[in-house]
Amino acid sequence: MATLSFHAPAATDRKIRAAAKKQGMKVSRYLLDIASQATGREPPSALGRELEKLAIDGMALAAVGRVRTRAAATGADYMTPAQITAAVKAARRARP
Amino acid sequence: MSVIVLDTSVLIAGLLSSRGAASALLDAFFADRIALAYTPPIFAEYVDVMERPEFADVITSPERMAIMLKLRASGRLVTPQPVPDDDWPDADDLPFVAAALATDAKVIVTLNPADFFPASRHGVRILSPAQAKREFLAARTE
Repeated sequence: MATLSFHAPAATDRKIRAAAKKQGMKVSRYLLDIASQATGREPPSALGRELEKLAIDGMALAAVGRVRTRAAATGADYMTPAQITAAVKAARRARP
Repeated sequence: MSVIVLDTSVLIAGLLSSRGAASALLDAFFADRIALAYTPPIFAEYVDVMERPEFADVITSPERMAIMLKLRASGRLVTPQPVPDDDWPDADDLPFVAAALATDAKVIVTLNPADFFPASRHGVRILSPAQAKREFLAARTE
């Protein structure tokens, strides 16, 4: 079992102790849990984030395209502001 | 990038038609040229309205999810700010004011400016889609 020690400003020390107490843990256990959680997480790579964004953008663009095509086919694209506003107000009235 | 608040009516108008300023604003959001600010109540209202029977034949569930996923991914989740007391015509519009107050631009784009008339007294600008298009999209192409 290794021993870790470090210095912290008094204010940080107080915060850590208060947070550990709130969790009902010893300070050492609390810090170990926090560190384990932090080091266990795999940060997404830049490529991963870019791919995720591309996928979301692609899905959203395709969705809007399909919605507009369907709206044009059904005439919904000619809904007036008053009709759209009425739908918004109806949704608000339907809230539990 | 400009961060603005879209009233639900503008979101729906922009989704339904590829013509007009509302659709140009929505297209600009999808192209990451502007950002939309939202809060959980605004997010919920967008979903509620898209789920309305009026749009059942037009917006499917997967499309709704894709659109909201984009809002989650590229929109700005802001902490709603307290809305000052005033003669607000409709309390249901206040989440949009609270979100606008949390942004630098402090702009709400709406089809119903009368619903927000006290906003200007509190530093929030109310724009029509056409005004917002001129201000936020024309400037980007200069």
